[in-house]
Amino acid sequence: MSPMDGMTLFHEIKAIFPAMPVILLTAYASVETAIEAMKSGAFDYLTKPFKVDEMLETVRRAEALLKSNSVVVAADPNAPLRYQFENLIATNATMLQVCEMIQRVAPTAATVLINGESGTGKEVIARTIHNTSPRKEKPWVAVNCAALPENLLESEMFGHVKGAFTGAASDKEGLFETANGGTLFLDEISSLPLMLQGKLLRVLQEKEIRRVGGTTNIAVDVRVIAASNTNLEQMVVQGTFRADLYYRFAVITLDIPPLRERPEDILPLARHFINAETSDCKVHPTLSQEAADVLVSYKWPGNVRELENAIKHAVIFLQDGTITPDLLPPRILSRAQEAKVQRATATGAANTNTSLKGFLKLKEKEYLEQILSSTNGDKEKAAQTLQVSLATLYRKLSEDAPGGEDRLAAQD
Amino acid sequence: MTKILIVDDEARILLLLQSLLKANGFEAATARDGNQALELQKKTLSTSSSPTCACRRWME
Repeated sequence: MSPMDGMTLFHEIKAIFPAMPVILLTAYASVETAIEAMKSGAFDYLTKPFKVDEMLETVRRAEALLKSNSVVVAADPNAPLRYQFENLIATNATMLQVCEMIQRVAPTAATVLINGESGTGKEVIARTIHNTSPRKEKPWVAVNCAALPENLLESEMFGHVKGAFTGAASDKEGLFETANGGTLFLDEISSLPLMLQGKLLRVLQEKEIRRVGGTTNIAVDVRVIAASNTNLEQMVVQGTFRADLYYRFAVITLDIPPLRERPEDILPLARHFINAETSDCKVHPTLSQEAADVLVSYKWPGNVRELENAIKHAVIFLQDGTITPDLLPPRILSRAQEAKVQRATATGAANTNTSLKGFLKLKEKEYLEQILSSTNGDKEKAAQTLQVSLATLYRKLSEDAPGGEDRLAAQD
Repeated sequence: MTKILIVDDEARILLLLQSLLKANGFEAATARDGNQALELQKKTLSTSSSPTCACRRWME
């Protein structure tokens, strides 16, 4: 019999002993293969040359997983999956898949990349991973890479020693040190400058950091979860994001669908927010049928965050125990009304009073919206696709105010 | 005690990992290739109920 190759053995083992954790030892060159294996259920991988401590730590984690999981493995595989994640509401099939992934990756220390439009709840999901992981008692640290200038971000992340630069009056601990033992959430990872990308990669591989201006390395044990609302793969092609760092993150990728692609989740989410907003009241307000219709027909460019804010708005203006459409933000109401007109026009209803000009405008706006959402709100790209100047696009968008500029503002 | 199965095509690596794991309180078995690993794993599982991890080297 010819010797069995590594990948074949891995698949054989997973087929016969699905519960057995498999740890791969891999040369740097085959990291991509190892990532593939992680996706098909390998427990973790170590890059050669590896440290003994690191190897033992990984084996111990695998052991812990086995012990905690022994009941789950024996459970009925056909039983419906239930997720007891606080703050995560999902009935949509794609979201349920995301939930399953969360459940699978949470016990590991694997780096996770969360992709999704602004407002889809990337931080909530990262938080859920942390809260259901063995690190839940340890620190949770979140940093937005787009919010800080490059040099500040570096000392924020890695800390600095006294005198490292003007104004560095004392030693300062970096976020990696603060998060030691826990999870570090890097939001908008695409905004990380190339120089820091290299540093971050080093930290992920060596599991140690060096403060700015420092001479000694400090060992850290931090799980990194990154989030991005732009296409990182495309950035890799353009050379603005390091390929090796991307592969490091892409071990586990969670794609969060925008709210408009999971309409069945709108009402459960709305009820969740209503209850959360009125948690100190004895009786929670109810949602009127008309208001529910408005919520479902709206496209939610600002995703779950916009929905949450709409509910907050409604609760503030609430008078009796029912949320009616007039309590919702005017932007959403006007959009919903337009949608109604549009539907009436589309079905050719006789009692519509829209002029031809109005109809053309509606169609134009619909198309503009479609293009804008396909470019994730990038107006320059949208203008290119539409073959109009940027100025024209801006004019068209402000024409259909109220809501045009608002809509875009809600996306960031 | 957790059993670890180490798979590698190099005897030196097997010996090294085995002694390291044993020194740290694990039970460690070794296999030189995939077929041997599968045989061993099936035998181990039929004689004991304790969980096993496999740690194996990427065979280039």
